[in-house]
Formats: sequence, structure tokens, C-alpha cells
Amino acid sequence: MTLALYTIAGYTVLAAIMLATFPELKRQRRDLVLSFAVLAAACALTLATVTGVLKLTINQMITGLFIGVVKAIVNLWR
Amino acid sequence: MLEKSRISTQQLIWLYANGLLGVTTLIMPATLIQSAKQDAWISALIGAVAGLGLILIWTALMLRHPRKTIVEIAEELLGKALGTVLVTLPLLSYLLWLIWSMVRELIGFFTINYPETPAEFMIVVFVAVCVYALSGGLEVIARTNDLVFPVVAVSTAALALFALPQFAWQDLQPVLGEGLAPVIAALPPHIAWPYGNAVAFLMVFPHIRDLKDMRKGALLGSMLGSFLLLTSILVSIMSLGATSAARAVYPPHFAARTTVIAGFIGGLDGLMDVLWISSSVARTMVFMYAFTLGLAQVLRLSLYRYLAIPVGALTAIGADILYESCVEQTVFNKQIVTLIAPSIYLGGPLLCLALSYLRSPQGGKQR
Repeated sequence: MTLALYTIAGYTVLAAIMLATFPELKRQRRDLVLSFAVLAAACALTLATVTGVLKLTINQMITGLFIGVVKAIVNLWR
Repeated sequence: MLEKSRISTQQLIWLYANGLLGVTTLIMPATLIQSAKQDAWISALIGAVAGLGLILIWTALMLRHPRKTIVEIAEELLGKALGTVLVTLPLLSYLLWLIWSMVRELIGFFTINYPETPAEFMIVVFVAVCVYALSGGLEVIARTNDLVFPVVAVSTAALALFALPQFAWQDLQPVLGEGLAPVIAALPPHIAWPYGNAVAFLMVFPHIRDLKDMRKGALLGSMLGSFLLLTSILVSIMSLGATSAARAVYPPHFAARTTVIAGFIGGLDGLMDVLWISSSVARTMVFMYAFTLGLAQVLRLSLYRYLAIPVGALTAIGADILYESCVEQTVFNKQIVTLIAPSIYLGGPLLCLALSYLRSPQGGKQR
């Protein structure tokens, strides 16, 4: 829980740095939303890791996906 | 155009050469020597030629669509939806994974020298430097590389030169003792890692000042990088022997440690580590730049630098949770990456090139 709070606090600071570095972001709403969406993805990934939701490593997920796709193609072929 | 800055031909040569080095200099020799033993240098030479072939394909495409990145070219030739699904998304996903992998592998190397420092702290510091350069744009990245690369190149060559008297030349024999099979078997990861991964330069090539020098610059850069990579492999084999080098995770590091110049200057691994880390920083910057610019082009942002901090944050986390152990990473690199990578570095560009030729055989080729 503490780690999750630290994570959210950390990304809030990053968002503040972004807005301070690029003040024009406030006017360009679309750019702001999309940039923050990427930041939110990083935040979600961190939270999933620190709370233990993410049980597989990135490489294991890619391997599973790749093998799944190959198996699906082989099955279709048959 | 999202990127207005331009780099010179010399900067492209050095960037491309460094784009092949970085953490690859430390890891690739072990992978090659494990498969090809003392003939690893032959695999490296064949790989270098394949790398030049890739550049010819890539630059043929880029010269037909001047001042356009692969993301824009795919969109122009295949349409927004199909171009994004077939070329852009696989490329960007691969680049993101590659950035995570490079940062993680470098941090793995850091922990040898700083075993008590948490890896997370080093990842954040490393990524912060990259984000700072990324915010400055391509020119800043190229100038950073101008400072780093000459020192790396000269030191690597000098180390090999000074270590010459210690070399055991018989460690290179027998040449092709087990035939060509092990040499060929070592090739796929070697082509994918340094040379195929340079696909990131498809986002950099359009920003060279003089477009007609693009191919020449990339070819020269590739030859220079390959020469330094080959030097590292030869130093590893002849200083440690093929059997010991195959067992080491970072053979060039241990080769530098065992090298003594003029009988009293030793412990060169510290100096070489600093140079390899600097080289890796410059390389990671290029890959982060390619990913960020590509993502900004897909999302139609008005400035790609908005994404510098978010991509940095994503990298810091991704690098940390990429894999659990070195073994997992080695198996993944050999079995999965070797299969997926060719579709990214060869499949996408070849598809675009074929479509470009079909649409207009003469194209907008720069003469």
C-alpha cells in the first residue's frame, strides 16, 4: 500500500515536471491527454508490479503471446 | 515535421557506429563464442556483411521517400490503419522492448562493480540522463555522441594494440575445426542484435543534412562499428581462450581486467567499463529518440518532446520487470527474439520497399 502511494506521488511529481517544462501543454489539450496516457501506462505498470498483480515478467508474457499465436496458426493450418 | 534539427554526415557515421556498440560489445562476444568457439570472429565478419546488406535495403527505401521516417512512409504506402498495424506498431513495440532490454542489461553489468547499490536507483539515474538528452532533441544526442564515441573507439583499439604481446594466437586455431555449421548457427542472434536493431535509424536517417550522404554515412558507420566489435571478440578469444570466454558473461570486461600494459599498468577494466557505459548511454538515447518520435508521429502530437518524461518513466519500470534472471534473458534472446526480430528489421522495410517500387518504379529517388 505504501509503495502504491509512493508510486502515485512519484508520477504526480513527474506530471508536474512535464507541465513546468512544457507550459504550452496546458493549451494543447489533445497532446496533454496523450502524453499523460503514456505516463498513466507507466503508473499502471508500476502499480501492477508493486501490488503483485503482475506475476509474469515482460519476457514471459511476450513468450506466451508468441507461442500462443504460433499454436493458433498451426491449428488453423491443420 | 516534428523534428527540425539536422545532423552532419560525420555525426551519422559516429552515431551509427555507436548504435552497433554499447552494451552489445559486452554481451555479444559471449553469445558468439558459445556457439562458434574460436571461429566467432568469422561469424562476426559474415554478420558485418549482412549488416551492410540491411543498410542497402533501408537506405533504398529512405532515398525513395526523402525526409520521411519509416512511420510516415508506411502510412503513405499502406494507409493509416494498415501501415500502423503492419509496420509501425510492431516496430515501436520492438523498439520499446529493446530500450528496456538495453537498460536492464547495462544495469546487470553495473551490479558487478556496485553490488550494494539498488538496481532501481541506477536505472532511474541512467534513464534521467537519457530523458534530459531526449528533451534536447537529435542534435544534442549527436553532440553527446561526438564527445563519447572517439574516446570509446580509440580506447578499444588502443587496448587491443597494447595487449598484442599477451595474445595467444594459437587460441584462434583450428580455423573452422568443426566446419561451417557452428559459424552459421551463431549468425541469427548476431545479425539481429547489433545490425538488425539499427532499424531504429530509420527514424534518424531523414534528419541528415545532406541526404545523398545517407547511404555512405551508414555504411561507413557500420564498418567502423563492426571493426570495433570484431576487435572486442578477438581480444576476448586471444586473452581468455575460447573456452573461458564462452563461460564469461562479459568477456571483454574480463579480458580488460587481465591485460597488463608494459608490465605495470593493469586493472584497465574500470576504465573500459566507464567507456562502455558512456557508449551505452549514447546508444540508448538514439533508440529512445526513435521510439518517442515514432510514437509522436502515430499520435499526431505537435511536439515529440512532450513524450520524453512519460517514455522515461515507462522505461524505468519496464527495465526493472523485464526478466527475473540472466538465464531467462539469454534463452529469450536466442529463442524468441531471433524469430521475431527479422520480421521487424527486414519484413516491414522490405514490404514498404516492394510497395514503393510497385507504385512508382522510378520513385522520388534522390540523385
